[in-house]
Amino acid sequence: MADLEDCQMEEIDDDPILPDELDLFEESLRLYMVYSLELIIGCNGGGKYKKRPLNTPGSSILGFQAIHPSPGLTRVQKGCAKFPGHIKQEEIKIEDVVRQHALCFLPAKSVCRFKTVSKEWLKWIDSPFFAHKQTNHFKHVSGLFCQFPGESPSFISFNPVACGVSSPTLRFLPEPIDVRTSCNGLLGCQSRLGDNAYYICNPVTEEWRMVPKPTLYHGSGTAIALAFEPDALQFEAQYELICAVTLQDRAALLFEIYSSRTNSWRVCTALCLEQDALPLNGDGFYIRGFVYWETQSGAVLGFDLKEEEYGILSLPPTSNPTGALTELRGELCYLLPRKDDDEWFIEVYGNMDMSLRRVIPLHSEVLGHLVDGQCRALAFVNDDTMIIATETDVIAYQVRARTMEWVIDARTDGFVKYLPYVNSLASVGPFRA
Amino acid sequence: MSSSTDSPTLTTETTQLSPQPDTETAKPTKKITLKSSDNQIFEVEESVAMEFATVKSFFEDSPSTDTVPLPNVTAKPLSQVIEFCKEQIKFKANPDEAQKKKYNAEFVTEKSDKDLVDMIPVANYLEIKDLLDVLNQAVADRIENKSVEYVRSFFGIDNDFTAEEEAALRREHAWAYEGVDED
Repeated sequence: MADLEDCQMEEIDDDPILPDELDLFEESLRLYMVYSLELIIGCNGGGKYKKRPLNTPGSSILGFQAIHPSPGLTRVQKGCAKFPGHIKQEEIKIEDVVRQHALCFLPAKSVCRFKTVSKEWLKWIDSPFFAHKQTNHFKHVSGLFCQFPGESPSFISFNPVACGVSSPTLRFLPEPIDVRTSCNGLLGCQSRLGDNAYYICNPVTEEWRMVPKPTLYHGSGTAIALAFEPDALQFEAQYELICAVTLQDRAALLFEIYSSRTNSWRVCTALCLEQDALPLNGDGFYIRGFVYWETQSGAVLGFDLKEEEYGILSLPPTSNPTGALTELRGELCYLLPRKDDDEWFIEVYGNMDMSLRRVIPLHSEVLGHLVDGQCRALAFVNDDTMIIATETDVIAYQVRARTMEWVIDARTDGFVKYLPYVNSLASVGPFRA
Repeated sequence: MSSSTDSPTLTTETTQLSPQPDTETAKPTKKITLKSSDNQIFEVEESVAMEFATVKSFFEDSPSTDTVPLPNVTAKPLSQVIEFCKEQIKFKANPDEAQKKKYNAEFVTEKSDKDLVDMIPVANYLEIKDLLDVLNQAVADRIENKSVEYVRSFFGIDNDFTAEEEAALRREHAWAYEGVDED
């Protein structure tokens, strides 16, 4: 993969027509755009598209040759040249530019609504090329999935008009499930029945895939995490389901990983015997090549997906169930609410030593009466927003602006995990017939 | 970049590719004339014009010209685009991601819907990728909570569905209309 990228980069750098900082993604998209346009216009013999390798000379550059002025262009007198007739003389319609370049910045719910704008928009939004592009451009955390004991899953949207899913209860799956892990638009679920099969699904498109049966026995103590990183250069989404499996007969963990690439499981050689890591406190999450699980003894079990090795981090000694292990600007961090003189503060711990990085005051003039009673940190999302649950409300607190938005009424009848979810059209895998 | 010897000579060598304003300061910066479709003349520094990939490639093929006609571009959006590119060049000389982000955000916030809609085809035509991304994100932010009708009128798009087709689509994706003010 690295070779391929290097080679492509070189080729692009050599081309004088391209802007200095070229986005490889745009490149691959341009290529796909050629296909999709052929599909839409239907000029490629019944809408079939051929797969061309991305890095063959001439393919990714082809689109640019078309706009390259031919050497012998006609000149008008007084040094004022005329733009060559075959280049970009056509009228550019705003709706086409926006369709191709702006819709991908929208969350899935808005996009599904805008299918009704026009036939062109419908065709484009329904195409797999668009789903791929939107998955790579729209990366905002749009809300939280959660599931209370004995109920179906539910979705809390941060902006209900723009972000939402067609089926928050995931009823389209063939079995009743528990939603357990979320990553960039895809959800990992587990059946409550029979073999307790794992499912990967997209709650917007209602696409799903049942994961084959693992080789190890995944008992109730198994903690899982879905790892899905949208890749601009890779049209087929690939993901992994990492399971930390507690061995029945001894205090040890094994890591078993499902890969969508091979549609199979493998057991890693790493055997985790550290008492600190056992048992885990529910499911984990993925950040940039690593999976993290909180343990019940105030530590974090980290797993490096590339090296397939694990490590243990200690949480601050004051850690307790009102804290939250979460992602902050691509790094692991731990949020811990603390009350001082009738004011709530959120302590943010980070780095590999989980040291105190900063303290964010929740200004009481903003919080109002909510300052009384309990406070629980749920997550840090989109670089600047803290999601906090008080006794009565779930709120989104914008750290820089010190403003607060009400998200939903808090529930006190169960202590559940809230899974940050990105409203994307990510594909679950090979398209189902 | 990862060299063990950080000698000053090496540093100058590696940076010579980027424009160096301090070398030959006496030389006046080259100006390029852009002519909009409504016959307005814009004189811009060469570095600004080179931000427009379309103009850049045009010049690479006919370096002797000094006036570039832009038959699809009117004066107002062009002037706004030039303003944006001038700022981007400053950020290229002194990279400051936070300031750049702030400038880009303010640039679009103060623009009317029409300004944005007029600038997008221009940024697309001139192939200014950074600006195109900024504009498209801004437009996306302005329409994400809006109804289908609003979006059609925002971009001047004709509805080419029959009433039956439209009703069927709305039924099929009923969930996507929940909570939207039909205006």
